[in-house]
Amino acid sequence: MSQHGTVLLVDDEPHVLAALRRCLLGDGLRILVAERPDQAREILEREDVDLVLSDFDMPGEDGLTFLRSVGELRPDALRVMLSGRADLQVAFEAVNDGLAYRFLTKPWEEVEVRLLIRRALEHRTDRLRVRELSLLVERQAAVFAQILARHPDCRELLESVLESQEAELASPVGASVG
Amino acid sequence: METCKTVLLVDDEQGILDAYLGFLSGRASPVVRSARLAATEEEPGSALPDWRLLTAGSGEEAVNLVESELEQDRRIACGFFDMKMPGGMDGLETIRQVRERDPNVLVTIATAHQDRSIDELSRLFGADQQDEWDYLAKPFTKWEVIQKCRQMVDSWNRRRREEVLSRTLEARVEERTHQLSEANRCLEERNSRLEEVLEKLRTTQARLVQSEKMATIGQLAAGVAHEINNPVGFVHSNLGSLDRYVTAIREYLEGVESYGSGRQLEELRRQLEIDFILDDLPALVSQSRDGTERIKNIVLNLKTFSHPGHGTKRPEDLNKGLRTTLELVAAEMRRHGELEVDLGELPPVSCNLSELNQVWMNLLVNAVHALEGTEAPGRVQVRSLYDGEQVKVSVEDNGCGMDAEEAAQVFHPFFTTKEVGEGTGLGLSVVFAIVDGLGGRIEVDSEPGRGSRFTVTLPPAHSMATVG
Repeated sequence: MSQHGTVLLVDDEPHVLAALRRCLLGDGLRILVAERPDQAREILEREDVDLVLSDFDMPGEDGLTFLRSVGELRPDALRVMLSGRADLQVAFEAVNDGLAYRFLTKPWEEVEVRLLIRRALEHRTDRLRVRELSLLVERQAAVFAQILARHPDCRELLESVLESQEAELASPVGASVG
Repeated sequence: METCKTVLLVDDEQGILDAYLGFLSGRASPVVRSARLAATEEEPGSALPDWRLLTAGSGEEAVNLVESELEQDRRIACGFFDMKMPGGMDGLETIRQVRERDPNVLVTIATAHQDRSIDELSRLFGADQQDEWDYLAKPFTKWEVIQKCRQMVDSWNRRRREEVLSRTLEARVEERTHQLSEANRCLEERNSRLEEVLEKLRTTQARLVQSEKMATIGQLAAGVAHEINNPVGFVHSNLGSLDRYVTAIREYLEGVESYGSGRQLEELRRQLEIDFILDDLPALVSQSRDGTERIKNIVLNLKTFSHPGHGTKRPEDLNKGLRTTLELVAAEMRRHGELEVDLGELPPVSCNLSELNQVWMNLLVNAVHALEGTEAPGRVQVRSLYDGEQVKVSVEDNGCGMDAEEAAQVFHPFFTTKEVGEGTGLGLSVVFAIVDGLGGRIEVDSEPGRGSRFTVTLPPAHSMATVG
């Protein structure tokens, strides 16, 4: 079940949590729920969460504060806001300031939520993959530099290897990764 | 005004004319003496005014003199007229014609005997002008003539002066009247302009009150949207899930028909998560029902809140309106702090509940605004009680509070402590007007940093009945 990602749902209304859980049922996600921000943070400390879908107006804590603390605890977890307000100004600002990846409004459409979460997780996977690859490239470059220092006569061979790799990255298979 | 000193002397006897001239010019005349008219009189000399003396030997000559004087823009003050002038116009006719040309000429007739001519003269002058003629009995003395002449000339000049004065006065009165009516017109104009302005102000005020009402409704709508979006959100989402559950169950039933039982059916059941669905269905339904129930209540509360009731007052339980308003805003309020509600038993108050709902709404929204940006955990207390005489409702917050100066102005129209654009500044003045209209009062007790308490005091319906 968890192979598609772990999602943490946060809302002070249990019925909303139940409905969202139903909505995501069958999408192969691991679903965690929290009714309060502090409860959510406890979960985030021990669980590897890929995405947090959180209500914006919870008692006791400002929505922006909560989003910020999620970012500090799990910098790689995507944050999606769920707002029931008539005025969406704060939601726009949260997205523009990078505090949230996207926002959804209440009432929500099932399809919209499912699609957004799927896309968000894909986006996150891509992002992580890009990071992995660039780390790999950096490591390889370091190794190449070492080899070159020791065997300057290998330069030609190494350059041909790099060229073939670049050609591979430019191919459609490689493009889907970037 | 120049004094007129012209005197007309009319007699067909030259001797008489000479006598007049002698008396009135102060020079002795031989003719006069021969006529034995004033022989014994002492000489008055320079004491006499310098009259301008015109003589006429006949009536016709007299009339001509009057005409030529008038032509030269000169006036004749008075005349001495002989009554009997054989061979021409008699005195009466001469006087008539002279007065026809200049009706101001004063007349003294000289007559030998108390004859009919006096009656005729009296008739000629008519009832209104009896003071414009006099007579001199022949033979006359010098002093009689001088006195008559003085009296007539003075009288004529006095009359002219009075006329001028009277004309001036009339003109002045007219001018004043005109000025007054002008001033009056100006005042009326100003008054009507003021009335126009007042009317405009009234319309503006009515509009502002209306816009304040709309602002309250706007705040309400924002709160309500939030309250309603949660249940609508999960009910709507649940229906989508239910749709998928139904599809899965139908698929499973088809499986039952085709496979009957066995491993394949077991596999399908697991794949479609039928056990989870069957387990979750009652929860889905009851939660959704709970959601629609909540939406229904919000709509009912909204109806009660905004029902106009056409301004009619009835004895009502204030707690009813307080509960309605609190239910609409309680959830929103709890996001900002703690809400304590303590509603005591109250006698009915004659009011319009929806009008009062606006009052509670305003006080509650203000209390929440006061909590914003304060350090301590926010708390709003709503209380109602009956102290045996009055019904009291108080809304108290532990927010930012106000100093005495602000608190004193809080019910004034347009006074606001909120940022520009956040409040119309009319909320509490409208609240004040509503409470005042119900014969109640509203008081504020506030301290900076400690919070504010607004207390609405209203008379119970039974006390109003005994009063009036």
